[in-house]
Amino acid sequence: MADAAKSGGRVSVGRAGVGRPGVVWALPGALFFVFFAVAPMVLVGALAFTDWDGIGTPSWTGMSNWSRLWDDPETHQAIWLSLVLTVLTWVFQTPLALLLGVWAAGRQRNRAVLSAIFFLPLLGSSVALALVWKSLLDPNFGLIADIGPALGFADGDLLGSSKGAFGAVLFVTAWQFIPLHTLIYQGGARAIPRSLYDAAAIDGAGTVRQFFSITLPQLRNTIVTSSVIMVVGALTFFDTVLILTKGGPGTDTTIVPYLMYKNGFQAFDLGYASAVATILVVVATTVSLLLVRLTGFAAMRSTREGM
Amino acid sequence: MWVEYLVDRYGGAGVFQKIQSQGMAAWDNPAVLKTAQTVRDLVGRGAFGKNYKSVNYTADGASTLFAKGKAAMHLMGSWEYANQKSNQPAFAKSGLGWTTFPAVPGGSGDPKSVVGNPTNYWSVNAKVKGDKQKAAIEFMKFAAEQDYSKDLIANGDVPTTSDATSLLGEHENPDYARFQYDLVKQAPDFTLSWDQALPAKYTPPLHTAVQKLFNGQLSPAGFVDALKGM
Repeated sequence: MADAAKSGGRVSVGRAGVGRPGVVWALPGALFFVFFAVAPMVLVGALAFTDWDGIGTPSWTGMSNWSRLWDDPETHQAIWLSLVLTVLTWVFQTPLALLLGVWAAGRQRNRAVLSAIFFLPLLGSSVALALVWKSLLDPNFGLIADIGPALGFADGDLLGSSKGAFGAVLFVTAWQFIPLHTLIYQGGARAIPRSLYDAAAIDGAGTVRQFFSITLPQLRNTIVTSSVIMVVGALTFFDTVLILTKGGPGTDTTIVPYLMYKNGFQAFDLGYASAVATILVVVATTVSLLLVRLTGFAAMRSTREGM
Repeated sequence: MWVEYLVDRYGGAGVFQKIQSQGMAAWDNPAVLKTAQTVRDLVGRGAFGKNYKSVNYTADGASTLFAKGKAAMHLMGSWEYANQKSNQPAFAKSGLGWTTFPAVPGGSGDPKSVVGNPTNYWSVNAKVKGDKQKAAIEFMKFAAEQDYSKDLIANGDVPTTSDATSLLGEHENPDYARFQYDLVKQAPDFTLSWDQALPAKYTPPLHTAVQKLFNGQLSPAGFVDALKGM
């Protein structure tokens, strides 16, 4: 403490604990990030220019993985499917999570019990949940064999149809992750000052008007936070696809992370898989940066100006 | 497996041997195209039911359908017996019949040939030296011992060692064991499962192409093109 006070010029003597934390404080976190995120990413970036089966010595192949990536119809399809899945995930999850979150922020009698039940899917491991859903969707022994005809899948062949399998991935991941976003929105909605609603009520605004004129604008930063988590999460969905559809039927649910797995750990073509991984890192980073920039979130403008 | 057997029956074991030795261009064999057309024909005539696309094998989906009488036949390797024995013992004992894959009209392959994995190989890396090599050789000796064969028999498997004949009577189902043993013994050719015989990098595209052919996402000609392009 005394040393810190001496070296840190801005810290006033005798009040050592109050100053701004120095760079040293960030060191453990930074080291962790360097070793477990930056270093592997650099390695993957380098491997993307090699041919490597995972055991021998990687051999330098220049741009060949990249030109293959450029021409590979399976990769084009995977990128398209990932984008569609990401957009649909946002469109599907955000309204539901937002409404549930705002509802859960209230003071209704049954709120605590129902919120706890809604929260449950988030606590399970995604592998276990995907296995449960896979059993439910088994065309002969699962629930889908009985309710399939009502849903338009006459033989319970939901996972065997392109749209059905894609819809199943969309639904199962939404079912699993809506609770997380509900929680984020609940926290956001709780933080909105009561006085705003009181004032609105005096002006004669009903519940719906209050939601659109107060709750939504006040939740702007929360929406951005939730959206970034959702979008980056959707771009990296993997376990649900691996267990539920294995990228099928054919390649109709082979999204980019699954394509990476297929090339890396089934074909042991780690050079090509690294090229796919590099694309994924670049796209996910760009998309989240764009989201933050375009929404003005980076500026951290307050939603309570003038209060 | 359907595709492997059909190619063997239409064109003989030489078709795949050529692919292994000469590369992917050798998929351009009339037997492969004929096989793909036959698969589409079988699918169209309902040979695999209507929801085969989402029936799984790994979680015993197909085997259970078979054991429960919902499927009449199941094309599978010799391990299916051990599988049924542990999961559906009653069915393995009294309900299970077996036969060979038939010849096909116009095919030039020998109907006595088998495909699949009646036995896999033990490989020792030639670069391994010293203690590790000794340990590997010791392990292989152990795997060739009579005790090991006895354990295989007890498990419902059939050892394909040349001196296993005397043990076959101890198999839970001696008829099955002898049938299987003779099938392998008399086979003029034996094709290892394609996805194991070819280098690992061909496995995913091969699986995808077969799946797409059965799903109707690839035409027979498209299937041949997909395999040639691997």
